[in-house]
Amino acid sequence: MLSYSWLIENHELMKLLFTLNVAIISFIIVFKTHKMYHLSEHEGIRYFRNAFLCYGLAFLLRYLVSVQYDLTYGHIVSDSFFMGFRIAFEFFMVMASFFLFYSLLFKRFTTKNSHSSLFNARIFIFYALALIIGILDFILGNYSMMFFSQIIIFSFAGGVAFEKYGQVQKKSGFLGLYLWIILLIMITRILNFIVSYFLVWNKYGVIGIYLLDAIIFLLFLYGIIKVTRRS
Amino acid sequence: MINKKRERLDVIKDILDAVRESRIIKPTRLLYASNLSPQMFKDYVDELLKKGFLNLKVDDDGKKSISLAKKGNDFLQEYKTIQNFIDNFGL
Repeated sequence: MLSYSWLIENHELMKLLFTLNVAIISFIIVFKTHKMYHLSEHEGIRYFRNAFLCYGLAFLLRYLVSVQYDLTYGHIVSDSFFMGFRIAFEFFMVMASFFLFYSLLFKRFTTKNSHSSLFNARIFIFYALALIIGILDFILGNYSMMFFSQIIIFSFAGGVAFEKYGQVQKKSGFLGLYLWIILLIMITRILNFIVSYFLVWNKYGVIGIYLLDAIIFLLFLYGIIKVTRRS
Repeated sequence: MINKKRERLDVIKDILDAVRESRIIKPTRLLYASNLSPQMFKDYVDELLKKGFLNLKVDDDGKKSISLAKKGNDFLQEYKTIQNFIDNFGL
């Protein structure tokens, strides 16, 4: 059985595996919800899928850059490449949070399906905010704005999910667990912020966060499989 | 008992269900079965025809009849799963 010390000894390898695992799970979720969206064209499903597309791209990007970094023994191709990677990674991470949040909230703002879930006025505001967060973090040389923004987004998302959970009559569904997943994401980002800012990326803390991220995405996958299973 | 306003997906399901039950149905009968206003009915049916959920046949006398297309049948088979997904993820 894998022990925590073994994970620490091999933490670079574990980081790569966890990152790839999360990217693959995200793309599986996008794939598994394709038919549902294709048939229903439901806006909420569309934003939910966009969220996992962004998560998939963010983690895939991180995986590819980490592999390149390891294969070339820490050589960074160029400063502009590094800047592009960092901003793109943060952009996709923050956009994923916005899309997930908006999938819970879109009904309050729209009465008619918008033509595109990627190119409409509201989403452009999110794009602008995500880009500003990525650029600011690059200038500041840390990830605090990304973590901080996600803590705020998931606090609100938790509030909305809690409200929705209170309204449903059948409490035995997945919505209760979904609420806990949202809270777990928020807690993970708080820990992320603490580990990066106060503990200078302590490797025990980092592995713990990677584990939490893997658990979160596995829970999402479990939910998708459970909910979409034909009765 | 207060009737909850039907969501878009429920309306589509009701229209497709009515067509499936009759196999082939005239637009007027479908309008009654769908329980929609004539304008809303037209909007929905036009959309469903355009997106390939329904087939429209016009005979030599100009009489119209509507039948279920494969995509419409797929929708009805997946409806429960889609609704379950929307409910469970608060969408």
